[in-house]
Amino acid sequence: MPDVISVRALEKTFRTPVPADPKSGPLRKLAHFIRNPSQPLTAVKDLSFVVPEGEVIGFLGANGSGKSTTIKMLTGILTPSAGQAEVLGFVPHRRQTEFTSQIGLVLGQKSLLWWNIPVLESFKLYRDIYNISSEDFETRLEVFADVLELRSIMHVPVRKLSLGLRMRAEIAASLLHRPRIIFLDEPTIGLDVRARLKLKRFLLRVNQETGVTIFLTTHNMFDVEDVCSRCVILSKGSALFDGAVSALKANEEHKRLDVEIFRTLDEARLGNVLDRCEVLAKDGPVLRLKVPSGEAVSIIGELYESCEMANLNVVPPTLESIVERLFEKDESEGGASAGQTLQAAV
Amino acid sequence: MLGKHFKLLFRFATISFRNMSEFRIDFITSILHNIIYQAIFIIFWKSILGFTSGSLGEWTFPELAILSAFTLLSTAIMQWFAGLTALSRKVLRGEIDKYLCKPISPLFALLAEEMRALASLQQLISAIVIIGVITVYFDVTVTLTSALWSLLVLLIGCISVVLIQGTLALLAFWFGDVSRLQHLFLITGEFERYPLTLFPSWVQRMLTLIIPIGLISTYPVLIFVGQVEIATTYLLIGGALLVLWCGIFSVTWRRALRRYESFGG
Repeated sequence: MPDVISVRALEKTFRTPVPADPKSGPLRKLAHFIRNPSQPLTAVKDLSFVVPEGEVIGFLGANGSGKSTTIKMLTGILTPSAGQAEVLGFVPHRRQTEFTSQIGLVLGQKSLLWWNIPVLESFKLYRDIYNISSEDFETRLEVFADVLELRSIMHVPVRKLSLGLRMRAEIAASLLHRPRIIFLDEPTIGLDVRARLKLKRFLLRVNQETGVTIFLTTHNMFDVEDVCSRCVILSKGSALFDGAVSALKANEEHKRLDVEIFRTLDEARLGNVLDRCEVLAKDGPVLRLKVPSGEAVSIIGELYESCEMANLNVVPPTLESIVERLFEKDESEGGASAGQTLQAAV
Repeated sequence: MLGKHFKLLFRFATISFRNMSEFRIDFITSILHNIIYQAIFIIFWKSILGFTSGSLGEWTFPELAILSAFTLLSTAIMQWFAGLTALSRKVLRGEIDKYLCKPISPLFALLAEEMRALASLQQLISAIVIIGVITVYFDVTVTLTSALWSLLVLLIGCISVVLIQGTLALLAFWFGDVSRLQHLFLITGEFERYPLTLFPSWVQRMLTLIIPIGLISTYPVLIFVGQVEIATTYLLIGGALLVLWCGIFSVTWRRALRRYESFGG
């Protein structure tokens, strides 16, 4: 599949005001007020990646990690400070009509629909903006009304919709013109479990049926796990990890073993097994161990020989715990350098 | 492309009508506001002229009443460009996003979304009614040529003024909240309600050559009633200002979009 997004050393820096020194005198404060000094704040730093057509990619990161800034640069809303971005062969911030007519955008925290007018009127506006033929418009509207359950809200002004309903309407609007790429910036924010599930199923269906590339940002691990085949983890504007979701899980250094034995635990018999792992909990015959991934098999073998096991569970790590550890590691190793190591490791 | 934009303009105008008619109370009070506001000014001029010999300088009551109606006309024209004054608010709220990611000129979309078609129509009708009644009742002679020249000067003046307002609003991309600055400019707009020729010559020059308030009320009225027969001077001044502010606005707009920070989210 050809690449539809290609990003090289992308950077975005904003200016933020420098607060006045509270201890300074009134004249200095006045001078500070007049000069209004600012300092650079790097939101995205040295970001490089490519996305092949049809891929569902998730950008994961904490608040302020640069997810939304990245999506806004890729859709032409923001102009990068440095580096290059190419989407569908276009430079996004030039905002050529041929480019903007091939992308769709949904911002979870901002409505891109017209606030005071009914949903249907907003859709009609999109029809005229994207030059959609009446026939195609009617057909697609029917499909979206059914699948996203929009029929009952077609004549309701957007401002009167609940967050979940508004989000469904936003997604339908952004897909009406059959974009080649759809950018979704935290589309599941504020949605309940059921609405979230419906939305994710719909996105997967659209991806499978139309081959649309989906670029999703979220800080919800489950969104990535359920929908995306690949994820990029951002921290302080840089990529901490870029690879398949399965590879991210394989990258986990530890596994958890829940062992239940028949008789009271005889630590002497376990010999050096316990020295090679961390005992997370000990509750009668139940033992919870944290073991290095590479030694899990041999430790299970030794446990089998050392004690009579009633039950053994190898608990897979959650994506959430893996990501949390990546962030912790990044913090302790001083940011981007840790990112490079982790990227290389997968 | 042009067809698409006309189609969109029509749809946005329909939306504008629906938006305003949805808030029915506000819709009715807007009409009342228009009528009462103009009536107050016409009564004011009548009262002032009661203390003079029936005229104020070269201005008679019918001309002053037409001046009031022309302020309505200029407001009716400017309602189509309300998006420019709303620009700074939209920048602060990060609301330019939706225009930038669509295959449509962001400036056109902004203007089309914010235009107040119904309010413009209300004011246009009110102005035509006042001008019609005054010209017939007081037997004011108006030729088709003078009416057309007058409207042309008014249109050029209005667009120049909104371009200045728009350029000031664009400063929000650099400085954030510029509403006070915009308000400061709007204060000069108060001069449009009064005959500019009554003010000292330096005020007249300033309000014609720098901020073209004279071109949106006094001079179009003078051309309309035939007191100024050759409108060429005003057309040249208006044309030069229009080109100048178009250039300034266009350059500032392009630079501003590069600075857009898309606040929120």
